[in-house]
Amino acid sequence: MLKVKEILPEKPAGGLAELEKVRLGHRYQQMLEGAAATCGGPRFWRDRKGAMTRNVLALAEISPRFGVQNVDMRETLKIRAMMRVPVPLRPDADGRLRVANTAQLTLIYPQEALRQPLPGYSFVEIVRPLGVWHANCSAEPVQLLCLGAELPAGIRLTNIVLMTYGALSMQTTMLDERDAAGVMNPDAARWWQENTALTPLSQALFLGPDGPDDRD
Amino acid sequence: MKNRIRYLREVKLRSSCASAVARREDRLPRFLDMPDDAHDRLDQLNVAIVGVGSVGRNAALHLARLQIAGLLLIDCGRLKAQSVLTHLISPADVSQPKASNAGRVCKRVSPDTRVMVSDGTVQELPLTAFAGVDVIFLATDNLLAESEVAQRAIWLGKPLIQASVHGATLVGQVRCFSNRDGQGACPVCSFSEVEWNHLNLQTRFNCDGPPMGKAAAEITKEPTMSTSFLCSTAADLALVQILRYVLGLGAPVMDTMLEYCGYTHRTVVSPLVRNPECRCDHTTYERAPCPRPVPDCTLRQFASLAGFDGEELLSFRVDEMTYAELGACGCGGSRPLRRFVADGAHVGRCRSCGAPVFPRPSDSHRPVPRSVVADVLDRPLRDLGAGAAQWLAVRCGDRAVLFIGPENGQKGA
Repeated sequence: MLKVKEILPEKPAGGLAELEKVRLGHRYQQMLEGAAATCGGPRFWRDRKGAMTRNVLALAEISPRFGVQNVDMRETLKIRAMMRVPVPLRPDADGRLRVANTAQLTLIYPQEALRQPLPGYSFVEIVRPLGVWHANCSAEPVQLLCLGAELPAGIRLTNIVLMTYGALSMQTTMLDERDAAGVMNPDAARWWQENTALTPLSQALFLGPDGPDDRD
Repeated sequence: MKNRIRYLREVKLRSSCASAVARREDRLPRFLDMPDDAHDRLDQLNVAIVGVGSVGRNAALHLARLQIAGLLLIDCGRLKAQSVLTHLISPADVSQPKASNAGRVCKRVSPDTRVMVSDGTVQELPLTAFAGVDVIFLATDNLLAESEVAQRAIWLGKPLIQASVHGATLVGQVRCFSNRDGQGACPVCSFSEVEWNHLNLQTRFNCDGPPMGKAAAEITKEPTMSTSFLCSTAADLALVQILRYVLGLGAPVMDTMLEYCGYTHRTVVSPLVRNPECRCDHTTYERAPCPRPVPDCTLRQFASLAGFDGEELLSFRVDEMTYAELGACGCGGSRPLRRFVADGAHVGRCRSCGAPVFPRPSDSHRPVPRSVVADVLDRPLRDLGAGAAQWLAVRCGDRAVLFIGPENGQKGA
């Protein structure tokens, strides 16, 4: 089978601060224009949604581990995305941790997030895989990833993407179930307290190549 | 999880508290250019006060002495020992809720004024709580509440008068926002990075319970450092502005800022200008009569009544409810729901596993776009889970129309 090496656009010199300089490829440009055609709400919110979405798509262009599947800008901004990241799953019958290598997630950005801080679990739902075993992710049926007790008003969506990667790869995590700031699954929090040697699940940087310890 | 909507409570006087009552006419001067119907205007005036602290309490008492029609007092705080230093209270009042305490005093001053209070946060009140007021008075240093009130005042097109103090510089400030058409300034227009940082630092969420609902924000803020007389000065200046606005006295006060400095004894009046980058939605909802209770109408009827026939890029906001397309339960996978749900409510139990079914945020909408509800546009809202809805807003781009159910009895619809 022919292996095709993916050629990514050159990363801007200014890194994440210069995402607006990244040229969107044909697919993402079309996705942005399609979503903009049905974009609803007042003008300032439509403008913000367009700018935030463009930056997330630019991030997807330069990241080897993040891809956008769908953008919905009709009201609340919703972006369905795949993230190549180790995702801890509920241990098997022998108590061994299982790890998925990809997460399908929805980024959710409501209009009120522009002017008021929201709880840290307001922005990311892990759609797949089910059975996420993470102190900061609520157990099924609805797997919400908590990125902190509260996230500031007007937080950038690209920051949420990066925080999501850090949380799922367990580079940043809150395990103290007595601290209300972020623990959504106390059972998982206790399990991880006893298994801290397994963290982080990956040390690879979001924009960098895979690390030697990345699990597939 | 409980629905966090809170309602106002009316303050009643015990009969033993009844006292001799003077008439407003006995003292109210004949102002220059005073309109002939001045007393009628005051007789019909309803004012909401958000923040019944050292400034707001003074304003509430002044309004009670004007014997206006109605007062709504909202404050989630309680009187502390230090409150005696800045509020016109006695030590016996300490530990009482600020709004209820002030409400009782106002009711005693003006028994004919309808006094309603809420000892919760303004975020917990339904949007309709302000629908019947003529002026909203804002006197809080809680920036989250300030941003929320600013947004509601714009949506409802209600004049907003804000009074504040800066103790160290002996400055009292009164800002009057007309909210006539959404094109003017609002309090959030002038938020700098410092204010946004303060707002973020002030706001804390309690992560109790399952995260399916709307968390209540807790505010942690530094106390206002001021003196009782500077606070009352700010309240007094604000009352002058309210009176001038209501009776049309002198030059228009709306969309101006009045600043008094105790060091120079100067006052400065300057215009307030909208910030185009403001994070509030500067759309004033047009008001349209709702022919029947909201749950008895269909979304298509509302779209038509709003003049949006044939428009595709519409959205509906139905009270504080969320439209859930899909839900999830313990079995895994998704289940179609296609109904409105209150915040945090589960929508029945799964027939297979018996576990509660929760709306999935990925497939939940507030507001809900027309394309999501295209197949239920002709069903009464009651059949879609919105049997308790009291209001609905239809939006198309920068135009939005608000319907408030006739059963709410709000004036001005």
